[in-house]
Amino acid sequence: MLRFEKRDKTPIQLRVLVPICSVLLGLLMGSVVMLFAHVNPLRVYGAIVKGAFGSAYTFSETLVIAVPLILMSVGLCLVYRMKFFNIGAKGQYIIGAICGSYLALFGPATMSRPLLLTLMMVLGTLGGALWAIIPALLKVYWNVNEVIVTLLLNYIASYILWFFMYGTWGTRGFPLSKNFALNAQLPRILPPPSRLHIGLFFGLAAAVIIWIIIRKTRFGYETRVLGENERAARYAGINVFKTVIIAAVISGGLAGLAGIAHTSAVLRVLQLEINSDYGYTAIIAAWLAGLDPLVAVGISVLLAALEAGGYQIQIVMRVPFGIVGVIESSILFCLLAGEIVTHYRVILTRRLSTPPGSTPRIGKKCSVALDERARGGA
Amino acid sequence: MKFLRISLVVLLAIAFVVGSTGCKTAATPTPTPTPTPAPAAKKLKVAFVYVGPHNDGGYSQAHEDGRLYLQQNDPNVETTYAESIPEGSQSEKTFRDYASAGYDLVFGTSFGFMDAMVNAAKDNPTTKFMHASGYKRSDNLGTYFGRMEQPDYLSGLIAGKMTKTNKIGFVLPFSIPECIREVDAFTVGLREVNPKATVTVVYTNSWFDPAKEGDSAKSLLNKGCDIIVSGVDSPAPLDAAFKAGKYGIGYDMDMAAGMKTPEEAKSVLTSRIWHWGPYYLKVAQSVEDGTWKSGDYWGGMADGIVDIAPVSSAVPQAVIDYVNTRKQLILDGKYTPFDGPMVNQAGKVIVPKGTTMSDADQLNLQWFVQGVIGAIPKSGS
Repeated sequence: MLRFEKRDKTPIQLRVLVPICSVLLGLLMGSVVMLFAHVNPLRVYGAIVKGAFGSAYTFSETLVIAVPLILMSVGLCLVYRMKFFNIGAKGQYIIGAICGSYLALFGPATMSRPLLLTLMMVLGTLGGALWAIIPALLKVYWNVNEVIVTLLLNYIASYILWFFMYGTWGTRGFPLSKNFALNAQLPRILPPPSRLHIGLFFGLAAAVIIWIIIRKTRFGYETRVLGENERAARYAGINVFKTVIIAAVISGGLAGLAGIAHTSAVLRVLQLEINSDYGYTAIIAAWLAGLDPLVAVGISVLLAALEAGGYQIQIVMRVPFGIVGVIESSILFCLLAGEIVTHYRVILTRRLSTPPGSTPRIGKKCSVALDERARGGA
Repeated sequence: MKFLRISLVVLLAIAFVVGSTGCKTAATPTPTPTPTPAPAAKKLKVAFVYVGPHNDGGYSQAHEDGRLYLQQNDPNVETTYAESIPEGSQSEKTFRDYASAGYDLVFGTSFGFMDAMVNAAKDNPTTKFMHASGYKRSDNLGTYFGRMEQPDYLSGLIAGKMTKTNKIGFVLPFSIPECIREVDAFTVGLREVNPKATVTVVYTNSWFDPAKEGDSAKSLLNKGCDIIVSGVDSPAPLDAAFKAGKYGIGYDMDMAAGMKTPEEAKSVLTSRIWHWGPYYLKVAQSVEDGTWKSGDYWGGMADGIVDIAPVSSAVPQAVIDYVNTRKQLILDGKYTPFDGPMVNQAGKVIVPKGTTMSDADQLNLQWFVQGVIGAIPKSGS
């Protein structure tokens, strides 16, 4: 029989070993499927690694995907600690991209590049924050479930983007804005063709700042108490209203920043497909990182590598695209399943030989001792 | 705990085996983009990038058929494809990857690849890029498309004769000019033979989303439409029509040929189809003999790049004969669906009698003709 017992504290070895084993198990599962598809799994995995880390260019492209993941996942680490389950990073990312792009497309053409870019980033951040305030307010005033609200706001955000792209922001009937002027393009940090941009520094800075907030500040402590027990938090004099709103604003703001940074630096045009699904990947990244913002940086890079390498194997190995999905989902599946082992002690017990209700057998050693005591007493 | 520890050890052991062999593979020189010593003549390497699965039963498969045609008819080419490439940031890397893997000619088949191809083409001047349905060109980036409006018009003639409720439903992905041209040309044909008939438009906001396409078709059927025209990439709207006992008109390839039962095939009145193969062959050969030049190709039925599929046996011979006479006029260059008079939804004549809408206006078309029920969001310029 299997029994699960919640751990008080997860040993550090498990925190490291379990994810590694989960990934390997996922790779094994993927291999089985590949063998059925008559593809050599080792060569495919080799190609993924090579496609994600093989050269300076491919690694920089992996980081291009990692940047929005980092920005969003570190923000999620903060709110998830508070048990405010913001599923809406996608929507906040889209609104951020729309708000920032407004300046890029319709702002004064003569504005200097640093000023325009700063304003774009600020506006994008504010847009994302605004989109996150809605569920936060609903939560603190009427206790409306934030999972539902943030999830549904994702769809609304998507349709707002549709509205603008098929409306006056599109060109000649196509859902594609005019190209961003040079002034509105966030600088890239490596020579072309690399598209890695200074958003990477935003992401790393955000991770460090959030880490400090969580570990070293009163506010970070308050979010954690709030997550553990809201009532206790109220008794302790924590301003729940303020704490929830501020945390939601930080998380939404970072997602908004991710949206406008990716749009302005990588796409350089506003369109329907702006990779907003990274908002869902970021949730997985935050969760796998155990809500630690610094770990989330590493996990984001790994998930980005999986995506970048996944597209690459189509080209190099000529395997069907479905294989990529199978590999990615088996790894994620095993990683999430592995979480059970890190958070719970799995105890394998023999079938109880005594019916429930009678004296439980505690263990061989103890029962021997009991027997002896019984004999001694006789 | 013991069980856990044992399983961890086992997994770690596997880890080592897989890990070490995996690294070895990664370290050995590249797997497939063959740097093998070139045989006598160097083959032309051609890549295709699809937005959907290569076997989507529609648009991407039509291109895939074209690729196979090219492969079979030109022994001197080597082809490959990448499928399900989203139109976001990933597409640019895909085009760059093909260029740096030594491909000489790369076809991108979806409109949303446009800027990605512009960027990739700029940095890879020796690779030729061809973009379907786009409008941005450079020295090594050409554009191509077909006048699907001609088959659209012919299928409209058939629908006009076959409808009983005088209501046709059109499942459309987007309100971009390409799709609006299709609806307008179809409606021109429809109302030529049946002035009372109307076309109701529903957008799915996606090229390939079978579930949504099926639902859209059902909503049109519920409104009393008895023929469903598909402007999207999957056969789902036709399935919905067949299940409701109504007719469908397919898109991209002969969708009747892909149906499971003869009854279902019969419910597909016809399909407006792409024949990319001969065009791809021509482009590849022009690259081989060095005559390739960037430009815009927009071919019609006379070139064979578009056509209508064999018509269903449900359609009376008299109708087929009429369609064939109109088809001949198009083939002879004596008629286009955009010949005036063309009247917009408000009843205003936009293209006067005796004139034809210019190609430039067709490429930016942003209005529906009279008889279409549905709106186009107002776009910027």
